[in-house]
Order: sequence, then C-alpha cells, then structure tokens
Amino acid sequence: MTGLGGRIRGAVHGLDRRIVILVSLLAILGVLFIMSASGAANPDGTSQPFWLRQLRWLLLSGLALVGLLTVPYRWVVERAYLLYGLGILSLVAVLFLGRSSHGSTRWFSLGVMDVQPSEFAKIILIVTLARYIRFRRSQRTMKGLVGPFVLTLVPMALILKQPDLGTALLMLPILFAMVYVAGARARHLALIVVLGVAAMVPVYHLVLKSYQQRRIDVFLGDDSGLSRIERRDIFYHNQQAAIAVGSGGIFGKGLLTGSPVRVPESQTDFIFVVIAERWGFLGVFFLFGIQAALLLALMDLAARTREPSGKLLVVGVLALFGGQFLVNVAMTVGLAPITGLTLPFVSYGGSSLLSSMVAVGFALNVGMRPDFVLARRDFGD
Amino acid sequence: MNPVTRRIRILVLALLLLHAVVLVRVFAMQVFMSSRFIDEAERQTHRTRRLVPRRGPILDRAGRVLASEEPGYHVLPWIGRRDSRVWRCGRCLRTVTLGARTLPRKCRGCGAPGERFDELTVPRPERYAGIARHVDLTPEEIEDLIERTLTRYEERKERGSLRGPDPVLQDVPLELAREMHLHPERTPGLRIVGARLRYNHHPAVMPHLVGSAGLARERDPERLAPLGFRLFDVYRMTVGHSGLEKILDERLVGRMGIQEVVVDHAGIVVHTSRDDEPVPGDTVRLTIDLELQREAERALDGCGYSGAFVAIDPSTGEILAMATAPRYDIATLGKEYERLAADPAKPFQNRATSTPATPGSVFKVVTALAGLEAGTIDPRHTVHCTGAFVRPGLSIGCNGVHGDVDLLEALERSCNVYFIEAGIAMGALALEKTCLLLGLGAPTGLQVAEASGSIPSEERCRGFALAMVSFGQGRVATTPVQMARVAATIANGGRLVHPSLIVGERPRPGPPLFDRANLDLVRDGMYAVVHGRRGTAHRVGLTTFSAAAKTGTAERTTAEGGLNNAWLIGYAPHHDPTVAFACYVEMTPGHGGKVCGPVVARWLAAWKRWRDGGGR
Repeated sequence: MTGLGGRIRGAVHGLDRRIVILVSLLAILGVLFIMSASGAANPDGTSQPFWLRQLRWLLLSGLALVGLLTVPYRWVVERAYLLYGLGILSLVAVLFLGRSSHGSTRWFSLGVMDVQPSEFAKIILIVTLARYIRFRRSQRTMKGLVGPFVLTLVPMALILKQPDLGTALLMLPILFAMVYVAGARARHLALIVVLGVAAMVPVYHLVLKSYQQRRIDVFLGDDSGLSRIERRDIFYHNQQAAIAVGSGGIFGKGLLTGSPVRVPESQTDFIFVVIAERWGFLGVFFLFGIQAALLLALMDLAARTREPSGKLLVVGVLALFGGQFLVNVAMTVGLAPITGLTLPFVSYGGSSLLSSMVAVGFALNVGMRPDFVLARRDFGD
Repeated sequence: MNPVTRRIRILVLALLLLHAVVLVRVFAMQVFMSSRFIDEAERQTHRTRRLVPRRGPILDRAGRVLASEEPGYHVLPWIGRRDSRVWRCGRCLRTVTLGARTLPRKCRGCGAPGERFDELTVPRPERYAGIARHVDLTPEEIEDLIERTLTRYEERKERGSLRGPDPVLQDVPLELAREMHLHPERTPGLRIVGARLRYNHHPAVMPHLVGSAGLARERDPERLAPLGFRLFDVYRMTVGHSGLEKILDERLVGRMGIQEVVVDHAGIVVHTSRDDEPVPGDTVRLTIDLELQREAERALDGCGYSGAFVAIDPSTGEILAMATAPRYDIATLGKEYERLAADPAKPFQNRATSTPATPGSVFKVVTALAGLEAGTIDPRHTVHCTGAFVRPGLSIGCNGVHGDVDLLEALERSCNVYFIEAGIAMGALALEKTCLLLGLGAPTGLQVAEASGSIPSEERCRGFALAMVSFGQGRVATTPVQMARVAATIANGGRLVHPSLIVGERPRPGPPLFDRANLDLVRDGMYAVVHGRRGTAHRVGLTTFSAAAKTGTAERTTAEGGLNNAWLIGYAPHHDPTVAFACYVEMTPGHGGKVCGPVVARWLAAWKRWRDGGGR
C-alpha cells in the first residue's frame, strides 16, 4: 500500500460507515427543509438562497472533516491543555473584541465569516476532559470530581457572560456523561445535581441577565415580568411553533405545497418545526430514528474503543449530540425554554454545521485508529 | 459485561428514554391534538382597511384651482423614542429606528438575522443640521421644538385625548424628506411621514371666502362622526378650519373606503368580503371669477379704506366678485394670527356679508320704489326743497338747496327733503313691505355666514324715525351683499335674485315683483345719477360703461369728527344690464360718489375686458 490512493483506501476502510451515512442523511434532510422553509430562491433575488449557502457550508465543513481525519486524534489530545488555554483566551477576547448583536457578544468577524468561539469551546471541553480523565480513577470519589468540574465551569461561566445560556448549559450533560462513564458514582452525581439545582437560586439572582431570568420565568409559567410586546412575541413564537407541529398531523402537508404556518427563525433553531409540519409524525419518527441510530452507532464505537481517551471522546460527542438534539426539539414543542440551540447537522448556519462536523470528525478519527492500547486495562475496570 | 461498556449503555439508554419522552409529546400533538392545531392553522382572521378619501377641490368660475389636496410630508416626533437609535441591515442596507434599549431582531426586508445590523450614529453637533438648514432654524431650536411638541402631546394625553402628536414641521420639501429617509440617524427622535396637505393656491385672494383647511383639531372627530369617519380616520385627513372649507366640509371630505379581507395565518388574503373604494369629496365650483375677484380687491385696496365690493350677475344671482378690505394671507395666517386679531381694522371680518351699516342715500331707491308701488308718489309731482325739512320741533338738513324737484331729479341730486315727504306720505308699512320684497333685513341665503341687518317696521318707525329711514338714516342697516341684491333686482326687471357663491346651487330669479313702469322710473333716476349734469356720480368714470347707480353718504358721528360710510350701488349697462354691484367704504371723509365711484369704475373696466374676452 503505497501512494495516496492506497492511503485513502485504508482510511476509507477504517471509517465507521454507519456514522457517515447517518450524518449525511441528517445533513441532506437539513438542506431539503431549509429549502422548504425559506424557499428555493431568495425573495430579494440578489443573494444566494439559504439552502444553497447551506450546501456550500456543507462542502466546506466536509473538507474540514476530511482534513481532521488525517491528524491522529491522540496528537490533538496530547495538546488538549494548549487548546483549552486558547479556547479560554478566545472566550475572554470575544467579550471585549467580539461583535455584538441581540444584546450578546458571541462573534468574531473574520471577513468572510463570523466565528463563534463558544461552538468550538464545546468540542475543546470534550477533548480536554478526555485528556484529563483518561488515566485517572479518582472520579470515583467526590474529591476527584473537582478537577473535571472546574475544567467545565470556567468556559461555562465565560459563555454565560456573553450571554449564551443554551450553549453554556449544554456543557453539563457532556461533563456528566464523561465522568459517569469514567466511573463516577451515580449517587455522587445525583447529589451534585441536587446541590446544583439548589445553587440555581443564587445563580438566577446574581449571575443571569434579566432577560434570561425572564425566559426561565416564562417557562415556569410566570410572565408578569415581561412587557406586553415581549409577552406577545414569546407567546407568538411558542404558539406558531405548536400550531405548525400540531397541524402537520401524521402525514404532514408535503415538502413544498400548502401554505405553511409562519414560524420565526424556522430555518435555523426551529427547523424541527418545519420537518414536523411538512412530513408529519412519520417524518419526525424518521428523524428520531436517524438520531437514535446515530447514538447507538456512537455507543458501539465507544464500547469497541479500548483506548481510554478515544473512548471518552466518543462518549463526549455522543452526549453533545444527544443533549443538543433533545433540548432543541423540546424547546420547539414547548417542553423547554427557548434558548437558541441548533439541531445538529440539520439547522441552517455555518458555525453550527462546522462544529458538529468537527465533533463527529473526532468520533470517526477514533474509529479509524482502534489499535492504540497503552493502558493495561480500562479505567472502569 | 465490561462495567464501562455497561455504563455507556446505561447512558445511551437514558438519553434514548429522554428522546422517547419528547417523541411521545410530538406524537400527542400530531396525532391526538392534531385537529385542534389544524383548525388553528386554517383559522382565518378578518382585517379591515380604512381608506381615507381625497378632499374635493375648490375651483373658481372658470375652473381654476383655488384649493386642492396634494401629497406632501410632515416631520413627526417619535413618541417615547426621544433617544432612538438607528440600525442598518448589513445585507440590504435597510434602516430601522428603534428605542434605546431595543435591538434589531431580523431584517424585515431580506430576513437577515439581527447580528447583521450595525448601529449608525452621528456626532452631536451634526445632528439636525440638514433639517435646520431647510427650515431656517438652529439645531437647538429644532430640539426645543421637538421637546415642546412632545410636552403638548403629553398634556393632551393627560386630558384623555387620543390624538397623536402634532407634526414638528408641516409640509417640508421633498429634498428634506428624502434626506431624512436616507439618514434617519442625523435626526434622532424624528421621522418623516407622508401626509395629505391642503394647498390654497391663491392664499391672499378672498381668504374669508375660501378659508383654510389642514390637520384635524380637537372637535373635528365628533363633528365628522355622523359621516362615518372614525377618530383615527379624521386624524389622517385634512378638514376645514374656516370659510367655505369649513362650511362645506361635509361635502368636501367625501366618503371612507372600507376593505374587509380574510387572511390566513400566513397573512395571505384568501377572500375579500367588502371592497368599497373611497369616494372623493365633491368638487366645489365657485361663481366667483378669480381675475374679477383680484381686480375687485385691487380696486378696493386702491381707495385706502376698509370696505367691501360685491358684483352680481342680475340674470342668475351668481356673485362674480365679493371683496372685502382689509384682508389677510392664509399662507402666513399661523404666524400672523396674534397681530391680525389685535388689529383695530378687524381684518377677519368679511365686510361684504357680516357688517350691516347705515345705507344712507342708496336706500332712496327703495323708498322711491315703495312710494311708486303704494301709489303715494306721483313722478310728475314736485317737492320744494329749501335745504332742510322743517316741522314744528324738528329740522332735518338736506345736502343742498334743490328748489322744486320731481322724482327723477330727487334721485339724481339725492334730495333728502323729497324722500322724507314721500316716506311720511306712504307710511312705515309700505316701506317695510318693499324692504321685505327686496330681501332686506334677512340673510340673502349665501353659503357663508351673513348678518341680517335691520329694516324699518311700523311699530318702531313713526314721526322722526320714519323721516330718517326714508332717506336711509336711523334705524336701517344693510350689508353690501344685500344692497347688491337690490341693485340686481332693479336691473333685471324686478325679479328678486338669490345671490349664490357656488355654481348651480340657488334658484334663478323669481317672477317680477314690481310694476315695470314704476321700475323704469327708478332706473331712469339711477341713470341720471351717472349721466345727469348734476348727478351725484357724474364724472367719476362710470359713464363709459353706460352704468346706472345711486350713491350714499351716511354720516357717522365719531370722536374724530365727521366721517362717512360711502356707498354706491348700480348696474351696467343701462339698457340691458349684465352686472349689478354694490360698493361700501367705511369711515372716510369723502362722499359716496367720489370714494366709491373710482373703485367701481376700475372694476367695471376689468369686467368689460373680461366680458369682451368671452368671460361669462
């Protein structure tokens, strides 16, 4: 096996085809429904339609993924702390230098595209936690959990400061899943959850911005703190989403036919609503099927991987996709407050797509390099 | 099983369970509650659009536009957005003005997300510079104006008024509107809105008649409610403030258009259940000719005193010109109001219709007609004038010593003694009857506000009083338009004319009221006034028009001494009259013929040109 062709063949051989196919299905679904939500041609006629732009992002992030696969994941894991430091630095920098809109500072403007450091902070956290936990067994004790928690809470706090509640909270399931798999005791984690919920009261009052407080208030059924217009907007958003999902019925209204219910931000955060409306419950079931299959494929990959940091990486990616999907769908059907998370691989948006691709790239990378066994045995034992 | 693998499986199982919970929720929504949501999605909402009609124009006799509604721009303050911020969409460059704490969410034009917006700011000294240049104010004065407008609005709101804020500036030029639209950041707290404006095309001509119109005021909504206008309709249209604009408001405003449509949840119109186009207001055509009116105003202004001039077509009753002096300019009325209201010459009074005055000797044509009709005047009979009418305890002077005068000469030379004798001979009742036949003592029925004046009555006029009214002094008062009507009625053969300001709105002159022979005697007398060697209006320039007239000089005792009300009524040409007129000048030292004659002569010259040029 010499030359490029051979190397590619070897690489393709090691690729987890299940994951590749499932992710491709999600991405195709995304382009399809972005087209359905925003029209095949842009109304202003000048700029590219959204679905075409998404296709372009898909190509770019696909290339990025292929590039990532050529680098052994362990090479990255070895430099996890460096990455972590850079990540924290960029999160701090974005607070001072970033572009503001909607009252939050999340973006770096890089000419052609806007970069959102918090999207990559999620992935850096997974890599860092994998690096930190991989040879330790201390997470079985309460004391041993301090390290992973501190590593998680620092970027979380910075992201909350932006403020971006959705992305910040998404770091918790990643942390819990990784320490749990690494052997943390369920009762310890349960205790932390209880304490955490109790700590929410001071956090609610001291850390959260008033508009975040109000979102939580609204979700808990108290909308007295809102202005009339805000109440109308939130009510309208929830109501339109519910009408769109509900009126989809079992079979849906068809991809491009009928007059769809107007839902704000339908091609980004609320793309699930479009799927539910156009393809009905059958479409939703199909989507959930792909998601479940993806989680199971990642589970198999994690179980199959012997190298601890690789195993943890896959578990982190699994928790990320599972958590993000859950919160996104739950918010569109009124089970969670509207926090502004995308549906991985499906929602419109370059930053979101690229970060999801990088995450799945790590999982595939682990799958391609199964032979590293440096530990005598798994940390779980 | 490997404990780590077990933990991974437990983790995935937990995640899948949570997925299942969400899936069940979606299932419930889409399968069990679906019909409810489908109803919601298909629920149609009714929307009503109210379309304000165009206000009807006011035209002159020849169809020249005197007042019309045109599109324009007002500058309004943003309520509660005194410190507004302006954002521009980075993709389509559309700008949006929002409150200080509101951030743009999504571009309404191209759908770009809020983060694509950039804030536009202008350093403080550059603010309001453009607008200030256009209206000749300093930027500080503009800011002060905004503050005052908002304060006034707040006060009004306190009182429960639903009316929005007044414009900071009305009717601004298109260039300013364009600049404000393109650069809203340069004028924070202000916005430009399209508006309907009422333009008075000749604001200095007959302001009392045409009047003004503009933004609705406090009481207008209530007034226009019976016509189907709602509160906010009224604040979107122009309404009359004074003159015919106000009097004819109900005809000029038109009728609201109402569109009722059914839209689906997406805002798409699925059904139109009512589509009534707005009906524009009536076009009002005045009987007045702009050129003749202008000439009348110039002629009147030329004599230098307050007064009025009215010209009527005797065959129809249509008023060709109706001037009053002094006047004001509607275009600058707002700025000048205080000064005008305090002016002792009372420029807001329409002297042609609203200020009855002692007619003096012009009333003698009425006395003459009354005596001839009653049979108490014999035109051949003479009365000896010694320069005064003397009875025991009573002496009324005449304007000269006329000797033996008959009717013709009494009219020509305006002998008081002759008409006192005639008045006493016929009695107050006969005089009152003729006054009533000629429409004196009552409004003439014009479409504008009028005074009634007063006429002699049997109860009030006995002895001295009767003697006084017989030559137009004492308890008699007439308006110029009433006297013009008398002149027109004499001119057209005794048929009472119904003066009108609007084409085709008043009846034509009625049947003859007086004996033709009696009328001819009076007319001959009036002809002699102009053409007779000793006539009181001889050599004042009326002979060229073959005019007939009667002058009057009513003495008014004032602190300054002897000032008169000068009158002149008449018609032209004598044999086939096509115009009748009345001229009134108040508080002048001069006499009727000398003061009013040149005014009438100047107007008649213009009238003749107009006539010869095909004017009708």
